Amino acid sequence: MSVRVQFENNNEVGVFSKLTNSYCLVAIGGSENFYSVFEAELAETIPVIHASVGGCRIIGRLCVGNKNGLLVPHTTTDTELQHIRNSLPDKVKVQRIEERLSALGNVISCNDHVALVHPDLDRETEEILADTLNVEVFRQTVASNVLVGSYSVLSNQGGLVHPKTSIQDQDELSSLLQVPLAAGTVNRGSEVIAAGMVVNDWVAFCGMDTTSTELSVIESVFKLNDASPAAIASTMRASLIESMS
Amino acid sequence: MDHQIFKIYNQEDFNRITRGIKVAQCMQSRSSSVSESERMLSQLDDLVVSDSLSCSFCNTVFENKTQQRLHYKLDWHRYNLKQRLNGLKPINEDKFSLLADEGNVSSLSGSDVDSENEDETSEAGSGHCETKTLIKNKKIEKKGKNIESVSDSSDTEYSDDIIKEKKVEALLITASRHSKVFFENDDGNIFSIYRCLLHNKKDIPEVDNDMITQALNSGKETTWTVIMIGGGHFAAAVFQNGEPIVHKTFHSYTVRAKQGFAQSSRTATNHAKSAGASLRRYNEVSLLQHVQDILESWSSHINNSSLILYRAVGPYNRTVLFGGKNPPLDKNDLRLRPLPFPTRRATFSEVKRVYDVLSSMEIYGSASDFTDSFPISPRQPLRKKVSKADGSGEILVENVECLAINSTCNLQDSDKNKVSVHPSPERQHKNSRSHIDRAKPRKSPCRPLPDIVARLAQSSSESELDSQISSPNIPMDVSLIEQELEIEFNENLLAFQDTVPRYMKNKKIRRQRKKTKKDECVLNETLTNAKVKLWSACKLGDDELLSSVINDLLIEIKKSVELENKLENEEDVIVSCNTVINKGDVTKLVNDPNEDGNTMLHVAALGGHLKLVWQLMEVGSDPCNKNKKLQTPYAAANDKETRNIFRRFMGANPDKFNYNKSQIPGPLTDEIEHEELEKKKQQRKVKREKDRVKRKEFELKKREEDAKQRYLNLSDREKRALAAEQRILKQGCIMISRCFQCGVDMAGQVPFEYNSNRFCSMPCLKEHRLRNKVVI
Repeated sequence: MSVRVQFENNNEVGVFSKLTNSYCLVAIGGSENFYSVFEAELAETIPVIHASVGGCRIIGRLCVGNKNGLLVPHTTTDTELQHIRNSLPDKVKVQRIEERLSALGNVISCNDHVALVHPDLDRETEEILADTLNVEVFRQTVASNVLVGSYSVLSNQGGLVHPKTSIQDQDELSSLLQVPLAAGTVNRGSEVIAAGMVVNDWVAFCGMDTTSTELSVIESVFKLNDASPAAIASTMRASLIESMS
Repeated sequence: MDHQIFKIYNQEDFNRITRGIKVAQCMQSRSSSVSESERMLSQLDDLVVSDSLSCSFCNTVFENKTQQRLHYKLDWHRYNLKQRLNGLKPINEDKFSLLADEGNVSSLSGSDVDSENEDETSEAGSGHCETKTLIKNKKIEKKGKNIESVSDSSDTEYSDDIIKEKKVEALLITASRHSKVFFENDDGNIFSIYRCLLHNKKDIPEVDNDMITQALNSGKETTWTVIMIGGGHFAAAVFQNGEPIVHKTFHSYTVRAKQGFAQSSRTATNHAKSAGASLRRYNEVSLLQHVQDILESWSSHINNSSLILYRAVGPYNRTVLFGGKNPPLDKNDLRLRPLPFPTRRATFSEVKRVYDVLSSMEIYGSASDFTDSFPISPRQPLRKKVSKADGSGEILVENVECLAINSTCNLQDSDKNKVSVHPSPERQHKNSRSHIDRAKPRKSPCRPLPDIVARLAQSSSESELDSQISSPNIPMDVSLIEQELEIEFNENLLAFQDTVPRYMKNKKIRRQRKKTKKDECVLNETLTNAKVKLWSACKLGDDELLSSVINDLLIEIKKSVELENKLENEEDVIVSCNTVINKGDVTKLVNDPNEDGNTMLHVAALGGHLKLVWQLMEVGSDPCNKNKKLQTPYAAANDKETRNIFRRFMGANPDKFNYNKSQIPGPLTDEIEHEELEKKKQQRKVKREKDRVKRKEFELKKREEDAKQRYLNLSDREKRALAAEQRILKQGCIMISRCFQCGVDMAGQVPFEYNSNRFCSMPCLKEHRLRNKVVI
């Protein structure tokens, strides 16, 4: 399932929202239209939280997270942090990070198991990242670009990378991250993929300009065609039951 | 095997070539190819997690996944990432460990900025961490040393594969769109047949076997009809086995020269009524009729032919073939094929050429050769090679520059370079072709001379050399005679003296002035004094001063003449020349121009000093001199009197000057003046009479106009009365209407009346009424 959505006539929905498998953050002060699209798709399964980070609405680019946790930059105020803590489920850990590269969303790209980070990211941040989000961290570039968080989007099912990523790089990244990767665009050719869309394991939200071809690529890469929260459970059932027994 | 061409109608060749025919590799996959987006989606469907165990940044291959994961956390990897981003080459692990030992790598750590400020323990910790990883790396290095060498080759293979794949893909795309179909035969040779011979555009066979049967059939059925229409030209022929059975060519005037378009397409918008337009319209109809007649008469041939190849561009040309009530050709006929390449004007020779091209089967040699030299399109088969050569071309160009700069290089070097330099200009030209701005003038490219010219030039220079060498030995038979001839054209050019451009004249004047200045130095004081006085006299219009000065001068001249005579008599030559004044000096003095080019005569004429003008001219001031405005004194004069003075002078002294260029219209004497006056008087008289007549006519007109106005102002009743009055007048009896009171004639007047008593004026009426009081 993939949906087209706009934030106040702006197609860069990945800037104004953050979507994971266990929660969704949306920027405050948006139109009700924007919220209702998210709430219609997600409200039954995960909380949709209206939040700001450091007084900014560009929360998607400032914070990073997955189902295990959320990292916010040092610009986040105490009240904002408190609000987010109160709204998120209890098992999600929230951590404020002292990092020079404060737009964490731009320098970190992650799913529930792995994270690609900017080569210059602080070692401490890397450790916190690994602890809080429970991921394995790799320093890498995407298409010779250090802003891996901007030029790649990852879910547990697949990943979309900058359209100019070489096939060899795609292969290496894919084997490293253990998810299938494809090069693609959103918003009618925008190569800043992460700014143009947010995705989790069963739903993707793209900018209003996204073409149907781009949507179909997104759906097939992230395997959203028959995905639903319930379907995940059923596919994982075998392994779950195995581990329980 | 080289490039060969065979004719399709030649049965032996055809059978030989098509033995064991199968569709060439490059065409085969075309049938399985689908639209690009679909293919992309299908690729996406089978997306898999890759299992490549390598890092292209560090040029390493990993043994297992854990090793791979560890690698990405290494500083070495990060260092290489940075190297890549900076456009530098990656370094291998050994080098990196060396660098790390030297301590250069500390700047690598992401926390470097902070770490300096942090406390020691954390620094030590991180350092410890680094050393640990380094040790690990070394271990891995030991294990994978031999692997690294392998990795390099595998990498290159990998990239080669990609390139090859892309090449094949590009080949596929071009091949599937090509106007020819490529087959392979038993000998492993690729050969091509034009696609239009095999099948119609509408039913492209899905299966390769169909195509093969079609190809085999194409060789057997060799009766083709070729029809070409365009621009009023029509050419058609039916060929069988390479020979035309019937053919017809004609041209009718349907398209205006150098303008194009069928007349019908033009007239749709504005219906031109010119003779040419109607002619073209008529010819269009006749062309259509003619073509249909021809095709009708050929119907048996056309029905027999297996293919109808046609060229008819544009709606008009197509209607000729397929339009009308019973079109000569059926639009849906499967045998119809448009020609797959551009053709020239429709003539019989062109039709034959088209047939020749279409019926040829080209053999390209073995499959592997073919893929390398695949003809991208029939018209520009060399483009690919050119692009490949670009790189080397640039290098060569650089060589040329080096040559140009290093002019002192010795002969041997230049000889060496020459071989490489020679083809460069051509290539340079090709490279720059895309950047040409045709709107701007540009340097013509330096091309090598054509062979013939170069040879000629060489031979000629050689012959010159020969002659030079041989000349000392053989004495010259012919001796050159040099003569300097001065030819004077001045006489012939006299007529054009006035038409010399001004700037040249100014030069002349300047030169003259210089001369005069020199002369002035020589002139004596009396002359200079006289000059100053004369100028002032002319400006002020003081004729007394002028006459006195002139008289003085004349006396001086007389004196000097006498002196000379004396000298001649006494034969004594001790008198300084300074005191001698002759008449020429005086005329020169009088004719000297000032800075505006005005002579004294000009000044006098401008001022309107009649006497001065006369005197000056008597002394010798030439009325033909012109000032800077190219005016003669006559033209410069402001009023008629002055001008008349010039004319009078001319009448009095007709031979003194050459008046041709003085712009004086003619001499004037008293007689002439008198005559002119008479003439003028008469003219004036005539004019006055004319005026008088005119005035009279005008008055009459005005009176008439007034009468009319008065009549119009009358009421209708009064008009009737007037009319009656006039009628009575016409009848002869003198009807004089008189005032009843005073008896004044009232004819023409509108009477005042009461009780049908009429009066000339209101007082009369009043009086009458008062006198005869009628009791009402």
